Amino acid sequence: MILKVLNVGKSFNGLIVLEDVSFELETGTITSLFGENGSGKTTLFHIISGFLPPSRGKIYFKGESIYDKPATEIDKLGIGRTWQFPRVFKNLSVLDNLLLASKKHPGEHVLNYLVNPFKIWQEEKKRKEKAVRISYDVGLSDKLEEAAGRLSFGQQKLLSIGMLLINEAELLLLDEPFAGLNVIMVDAISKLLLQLKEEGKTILMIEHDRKKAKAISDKVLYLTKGIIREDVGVA
Amino acid sequence: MNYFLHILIVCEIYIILALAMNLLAGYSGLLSLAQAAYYGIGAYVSALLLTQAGLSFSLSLLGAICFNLIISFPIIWFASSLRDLYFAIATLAWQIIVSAILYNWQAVTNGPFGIMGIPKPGFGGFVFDSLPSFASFSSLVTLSVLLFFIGLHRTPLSRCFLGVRDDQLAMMSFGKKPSYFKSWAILISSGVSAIAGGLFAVYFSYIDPSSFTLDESILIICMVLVGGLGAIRGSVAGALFYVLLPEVLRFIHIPDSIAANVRMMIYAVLLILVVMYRPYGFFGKYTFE
Repeated sequence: MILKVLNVGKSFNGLIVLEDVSFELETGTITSLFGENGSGKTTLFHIISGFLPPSRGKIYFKGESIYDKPATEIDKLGIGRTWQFPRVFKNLSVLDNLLLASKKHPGEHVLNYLVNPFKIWQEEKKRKEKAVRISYDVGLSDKLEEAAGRLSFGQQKLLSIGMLLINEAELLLLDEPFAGLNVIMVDAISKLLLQLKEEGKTILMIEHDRKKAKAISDKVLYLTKGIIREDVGVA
Repeated sequence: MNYFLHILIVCEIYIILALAMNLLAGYSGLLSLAQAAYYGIGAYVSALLLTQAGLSFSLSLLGAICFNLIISFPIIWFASSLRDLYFAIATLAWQIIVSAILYNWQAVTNGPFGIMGIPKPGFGGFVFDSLPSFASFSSLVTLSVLLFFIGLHRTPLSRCFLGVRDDQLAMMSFGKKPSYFKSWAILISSGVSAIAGGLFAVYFSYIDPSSFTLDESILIICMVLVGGLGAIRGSVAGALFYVLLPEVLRFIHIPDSIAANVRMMIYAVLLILVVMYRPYGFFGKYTFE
């Protein structure tokens, strides 16, 4: 088991958004999270990824409590997320977006330029090679120098997933990966997600297109009135 | 010849200031209205160390840079707790506070009378006291600053500055703390502003608070906006545009009684045209939304 969410609740000024949410995710599986608009799906993502503190409950990632950890720490543990509207760095190239998402680059720390500048450029070269490899995986190898803001909506979603891959996320929280995409793009992302599952990544995705999501999911969660209901073995 | 050398030196001081401002506004998305405060503090600390402590120019400049780094902490605090327009307003307040201190702390700054008799810089017994030698010296300093920024903007660190500018939430979701990168952008920018301040002080041999007011901060921002945010050549072009344009307008024969006002009006109209028809400036890669 990679993620365990136990009795998590969230309320805003007395308004209860999540009542009592509990579920577990197994490593190397795809789980879809369905629910009406406003049912608290994105709030749950914010809580797991550390952007919002829960009002109560416990969350464990690989056995470690992440209940009170901020987003920057949770990322370091191996949980990555995308957003409903892709949050790519729009003025930067696809290559720079991928490099910016990579973890623990020595060139991000000023003192390393004084202590060991050579290591920075060695690492930069390695990461560029990795970024190029990932750009092939997500089908953006011919767009490396293009500004992310100029990519289509679907390509930006692919780039977001590529950024999670170079970030070495083990658990990918994907917020509506198929929304607003044409059939070709949906197929491309479905294939990519199945490939990631084969590589051992765990995926939890919010989706409204139940047919498409169920087709690739091992498990489906329904979030209704702040409570989770679970269906197993849908794929 | 002396006129052109004078213009060259003024251009160079503003190029350094525009480059420092560009790191904040163009690369890190921090619209600071306190750049003249750091420019002024750099000038005053350099001048005081030269005239009162009798230090050499290089040590005075080093002292000014260190002092500016320490005094950057209010801006770092604003940047970590405030965003966008609120950050700009906080820096505006800081600029006003620094101006008030320069005008009123007479025991140290000599108030509105300023500091006179600031010696010219010298190295190894050679003093840059003639205009050609000072122009060579300031060109060398400006070139060094320019090369520093060209190098900086090729590093992974600069990519992080751009990331902070584009999307702070996304930066956090990739485990990066925006406040860390903002702090370094502010530190570097204020340190470089001290260099411009030191050059200004030794070039004119006299400083007073009127050179470091809010108007000056706005002028520096305009240079960066007109030249283009996020582009080094934009900062250089913006500084040249703002320093050279009034000089060019001097050659238009206008009656002396209205010359200054007409020149300023032409200057303002040209600026409006640039902003309307080139919102990214001359070479900009980014614009404030």
